[in-house]
Amino acid sequence: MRWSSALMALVLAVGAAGCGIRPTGVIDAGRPAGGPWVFFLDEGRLYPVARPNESNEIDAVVSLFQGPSAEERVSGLTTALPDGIELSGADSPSGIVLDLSVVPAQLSALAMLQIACTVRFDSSVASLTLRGPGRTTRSAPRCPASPPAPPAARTETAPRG
Amino acid sequence: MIAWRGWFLGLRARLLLAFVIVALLSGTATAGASYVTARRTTLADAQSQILLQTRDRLDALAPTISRRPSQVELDDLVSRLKEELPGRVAATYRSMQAPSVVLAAETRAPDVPVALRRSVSATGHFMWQRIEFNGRPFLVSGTPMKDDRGQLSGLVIYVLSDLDRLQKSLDALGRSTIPIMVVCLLAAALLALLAARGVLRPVRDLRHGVRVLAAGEFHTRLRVRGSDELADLARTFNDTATTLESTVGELRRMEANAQRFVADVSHELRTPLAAMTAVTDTLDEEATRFGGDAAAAVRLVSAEIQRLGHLVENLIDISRFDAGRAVLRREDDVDVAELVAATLAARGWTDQVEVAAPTRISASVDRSRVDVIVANVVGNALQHGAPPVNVAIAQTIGIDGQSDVAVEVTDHGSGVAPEIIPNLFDRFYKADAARGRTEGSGLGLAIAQENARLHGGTIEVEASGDVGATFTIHLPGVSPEDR
Amino acid sequence: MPPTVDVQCLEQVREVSWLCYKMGDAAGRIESAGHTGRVARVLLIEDDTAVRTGLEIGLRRYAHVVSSAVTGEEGLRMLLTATPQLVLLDLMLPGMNGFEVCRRVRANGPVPIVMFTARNDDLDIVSGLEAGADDYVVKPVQPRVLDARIRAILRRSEREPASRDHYRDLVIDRAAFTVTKNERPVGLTPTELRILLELSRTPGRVLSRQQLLRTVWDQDYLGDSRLVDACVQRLRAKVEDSPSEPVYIQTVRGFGYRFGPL
Repeated sequence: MRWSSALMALVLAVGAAGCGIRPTGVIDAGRPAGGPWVFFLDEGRLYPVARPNESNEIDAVVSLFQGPSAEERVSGLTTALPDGIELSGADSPSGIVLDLSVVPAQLSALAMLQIACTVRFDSSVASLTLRGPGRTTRSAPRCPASPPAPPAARTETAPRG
Repeated sequence: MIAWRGWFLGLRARLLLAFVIVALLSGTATAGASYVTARRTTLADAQSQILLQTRDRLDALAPTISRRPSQVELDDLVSRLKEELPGRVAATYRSMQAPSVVLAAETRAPDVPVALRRSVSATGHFMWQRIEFNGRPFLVSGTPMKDDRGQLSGLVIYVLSDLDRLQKSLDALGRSTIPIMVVCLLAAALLALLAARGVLRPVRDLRHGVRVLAAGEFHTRLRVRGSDELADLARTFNDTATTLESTVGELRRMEANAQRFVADVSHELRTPLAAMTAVTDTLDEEATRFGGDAAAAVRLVSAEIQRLGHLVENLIDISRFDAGRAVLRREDDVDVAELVAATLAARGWTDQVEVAAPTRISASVDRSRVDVIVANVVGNALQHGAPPVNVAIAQTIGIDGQSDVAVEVTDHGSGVAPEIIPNLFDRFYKADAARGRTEGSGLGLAIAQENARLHGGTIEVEASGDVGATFTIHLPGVSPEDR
Repeated sequence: MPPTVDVQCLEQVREVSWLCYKMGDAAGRIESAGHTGRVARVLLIEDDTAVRTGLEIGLRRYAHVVSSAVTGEEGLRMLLTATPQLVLLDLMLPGMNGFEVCRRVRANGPVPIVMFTARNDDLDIVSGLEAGADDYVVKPVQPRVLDARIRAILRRSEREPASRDHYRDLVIDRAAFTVTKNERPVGLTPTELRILLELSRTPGRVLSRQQLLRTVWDQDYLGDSRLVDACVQRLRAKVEDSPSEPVYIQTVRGFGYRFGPL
């Protein structure tokens, strides 16, 4: 008698634990998609990367200047901005003025586009001026109305979250 | 049926059952545990991948999504996203939704659960859940979109991923354990049988050894294999058998010695008896030369010498029967009636005994032994019964066609009390203690019975009341084929 | 004539010596039986002093002349000097054993031998008969039984009226008590000769072992028929051309022996 009931309990346990993928309740996965983004490069093209914590433009530029994170770099993102570039100040009497730690003339067109799109230099903003050491200045081009569509999904590597 | 039941209770069956159950339990437990773990991690991995991919793609695509889409733009967005996201896509913006065809109309895919929509709009977070539709599992996630200023744009994207393939591979994983389990069970059964054999063989040897020992072969020994408890048992058995052998041997020796002693003693007595017997005649005849007491003394000695000689002869006979050394010498065609007559004549009883017999009864018997039987029984009848004694000889046909002989000796004495009949043929038994000394040694009837037994026959006693006793001597003859 | 005691039952039964009833007390002494001719010169070979003395006393009562030897060797020596009519031989002797003595006595001549067997052992009896004994008694033995045996032996040597019978190459001279085969004399013991005479008295007629026991050994229905068989075997060895296919003394299965037919 003891034998048979033990066996049955075992079978039931196996069955319950068992078979199949069970439905769940609603689970919170964290921050939603979208959000403010900074622009890095993926294979030479602008690639937006979400930076949900930088809600204003200055924080966004600072985050941009920090470059892609290690994981982002592993997944192939690069930046045209020089290493160690820093934002020393920002001003916006009319238009946006950014004080950089490097001479603006050194920046490539792609790098300036990165800054422009990150700062949201679109038609609603008057101008974007980059100032560097030695009173060098440069005027940045506008971010295209719709940034080019990012290429097809890259392969994700390490899962996050 | 009974043999089967016995098998099931046996050691082999129990070991088999135990091993198989252990294998089954451990196999099931292991397989079950690993299945569950595998499912958990696989599922977690797949889900993570789906969710992260969804969000990453949406992150990346978000700049291209217009902030205030129209229905057309919404539909377009959904169809665009379909290529990018892992699963079916649905989107809502304010009161609009795309695809504009209601998902639920499609029977092959479920609705976006209401609970999910509510929690997304309540928390503004990326939410997900697993649902089941038509027996298939699905992962459905929903996320509101934030604009470039980090504010909810009002657009919500839903993705429905089919987990069925995952389910199937997990099932396959589960099923793959079955053949392995079967193999393990078979291996367990085989091991059980081997283990059983290892145990049963010594047990069987032991059983055989015990049986042989019980049958009297004390030299039997078991072979000691290994050094476990069974080997110990075998060793104990061997020791026991050795002890038994020596004890039994000792007992047999003692018995043989005792019998030999009796035989030797009797034998030794013969020599002085021979010397004395040789002169009893002389003593008897010369006794009259002495007077009074001397004459009586001489006659007494002479009589006692003869009596002693008689006793010693009886003892020697009995000890020969005891030693199993009595040999039967059958002669064919012995005329039983003539033999009985000669027996009586040799002892001078012809006048006191009446013999009734058909003219010729021939049997295959040992002549001198039959003489002894008849003489002892008739002598007993004359002494403890009373004359006249009747002897009736009859021939009967036995079952196998052999001719049996029955000799009936009846006396007219006071009969034999029924309670002493079983003891009549005991050695040295004297029924008439009150009568004092009798002439016999007490061995007469015992010797007669042993002689009858040697022939394969019997002596039976019937004593009814006070009319005297009837002793019937049965002697089986020899079947005609054996002659 | 002084009465002689004629005791009726005297045979000692082989297995158990049951007492024989005496027919009343023996009255008077046993007369010297000289006139009946039933007196013998006996050579007794027995090692036990008491038994020997007892037997000497007992036999002398019956007027037999007894010479005694203590050992087998002594007995063989006395055989030549005392020329006994029969030898009483104990089988249990020191030194040379009884069977060997028996064989040598037999080899020496036709004197009848009666052996004492202390045990009723069939083996002893058969071996003794094979060694050449004519008869045996079981110890302890009463002198009258011994006397009866002795007289039976003496009777065997009685001669018969003259007749010389020729049977093929066998010549039996009943008066001379001799037998010749192929002109050569055959050495037979009195017992063997007596059997031959009895059988050839009625040629072709079957005599049973019991009958032969009675006429030759003077023993009754309870005697040992092996005596007859052993003697016939010895006789055949001496008289027949091929003892395994006897011509003169034939066995009739289930009945006994007969002389011829030739």
